[in-house]
Amino acid sequence: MLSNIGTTLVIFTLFISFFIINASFVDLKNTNKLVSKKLYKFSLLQSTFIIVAFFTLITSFVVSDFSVINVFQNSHSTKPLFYKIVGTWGNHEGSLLLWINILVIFSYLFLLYNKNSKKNYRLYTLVIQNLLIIVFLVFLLINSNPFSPIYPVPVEGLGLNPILQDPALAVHPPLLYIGFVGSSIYFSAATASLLTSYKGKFFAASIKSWVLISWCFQTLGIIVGSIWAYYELGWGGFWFWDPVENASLLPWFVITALMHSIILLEKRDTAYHWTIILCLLAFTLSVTGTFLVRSGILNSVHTFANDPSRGLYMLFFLSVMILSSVSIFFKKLTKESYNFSTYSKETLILVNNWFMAFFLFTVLIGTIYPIFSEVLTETKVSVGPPYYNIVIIPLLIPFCFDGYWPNMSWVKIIT
Amino acid sequence: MAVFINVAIYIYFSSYSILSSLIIISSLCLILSSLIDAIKTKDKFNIVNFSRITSHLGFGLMIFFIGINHNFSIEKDFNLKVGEERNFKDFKINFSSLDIKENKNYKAIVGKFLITEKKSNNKNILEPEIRIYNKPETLTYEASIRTKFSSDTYLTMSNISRSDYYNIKFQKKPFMLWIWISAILISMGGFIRLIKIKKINEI
Repeated sequence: MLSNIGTTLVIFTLFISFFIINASFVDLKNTNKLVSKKLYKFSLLQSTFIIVAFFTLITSFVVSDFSVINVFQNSHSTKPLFYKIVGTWGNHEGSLLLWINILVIFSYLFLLYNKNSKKNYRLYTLVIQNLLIIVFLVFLLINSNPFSPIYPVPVEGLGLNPILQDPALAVHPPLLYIGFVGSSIYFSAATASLLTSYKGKFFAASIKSWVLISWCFQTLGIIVGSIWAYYELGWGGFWFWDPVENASLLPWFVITALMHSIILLEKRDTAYHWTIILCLLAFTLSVTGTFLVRSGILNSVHTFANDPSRGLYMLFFLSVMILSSVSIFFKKLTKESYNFSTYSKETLILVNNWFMAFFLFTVLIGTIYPIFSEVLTETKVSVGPPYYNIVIIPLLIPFCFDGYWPNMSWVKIIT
Repeated sequence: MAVFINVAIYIYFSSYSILSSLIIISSLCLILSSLIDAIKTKDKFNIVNFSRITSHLGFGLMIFFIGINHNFSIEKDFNLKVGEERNFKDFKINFSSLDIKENKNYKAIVGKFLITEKKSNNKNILEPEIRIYNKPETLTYEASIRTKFSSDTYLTMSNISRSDYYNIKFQKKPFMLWIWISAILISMGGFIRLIKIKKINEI
């Protein structure tokens, strides 16, 4: 029963996403400066359906409905109510539904709270965000449906992984997901900005809040995860340089750089293309991290839900996403001046971004090197703390000095 | 100030490292930059300025405490059986007893360890567990952690097959609590900034 309700709601959400894209293109032809009210209604309906679908899944866990295969595999009737509820997102399928919920809610909120932005920019953002929603909904329905039924219905469930039976499970994944998936909205907005030439401080103002929201939640999510690993997994430290931890750190470096570069765009109307690159990279790395963790390519004691069959779909989606966004970027690329005075706030903010880029590539290489090493030389290697300590610590020293930038003055661009 | 802090660290930990010294100096620079920012900023209680200062200060403090933690942590790995004691330079570890506790969905083997700090004669009891879950059948190792203002005492034990001995991992990690607090401070800066979001959008 709950299985059918859940699947139906997800299918409805999928149809509404198509309606939104269609209605957006129709509205683009309309000369009215305001976005059609129909789109607000569709977006609200879409959010309502997906939220109800998520609560349906929570209900399946609470009532121990073992006719749902996901509940059977990840719950048990004797489990405390708290772990029944939080166990909903303690597995791949449930967490993917949570991921889609955040995609949809951010889509609606962006439409609702960016009324001052240009109409075509808002509509293109909505279209791109809904394309992302469709991709994830199709993935959910084809490969990872949390509502898939099981026959005959088992009497008892298999239970939740004991490592996950910790209060941190209640907050760690949702916090991280708001951070990761929140970056989708400025991925869509950046692509829409390129398509509609909605540039400069207006673009910066339209995404600044969303960048901040995702950064706050992602930072807190990483901290909670780190504390959890310290107390629950017995890792004995604040950071283990585990591939899964690294996967969460990669987009964080980008979003932190973006938080700083956006100041340049907003205050000085410069570094537009660099800001766009960071917007595109943040969500791309979020999906890459998810792909690496869930496909089973990366082995980690921290990986709780991997399945190689998912990898192909995610890799295909990731390739399409990267290729299409990069091609739009280069098609719309124009010359931009970066002639700053050496001792200025602008320069130090850019230097902050270089450091972030360096940390990003260091962690990225350390994380994916074992994969390439195994494929090319058939030797299994693991990159541990010594590599990161040797490469990162020396650069951390000058990076701290860069923190002087708020005390510098803005300097006019030299022309 | 950096020299003073380094001397204080040398006295407190009875050891010194060039790398930790450099990290501490640079993190102090960031902390000072944030404090200068706070002093120079005309409108100190403006949310935008306050959030920036909070996050930067949090980052500086985090690097500072990580620098100390990274270089002055103590880690000992050894085997011990019930009733035995192991002596180290600054502390001794006594494996007092081993109990079995039955819980609703797991059985736990609980070790009791008495940690005595030789200098201060401070005594701590740590009780790490090996849990055997039945749904699903899984073995987990639960660390016992005693968090204090200045350091964490951390102990895990794992069984060695066909032996009365247990493998013990003991750690003394300075300023762990402060690493968490400073990291939370970084994100707090962002959350403080969120308060102002609505007003910014209205402009």
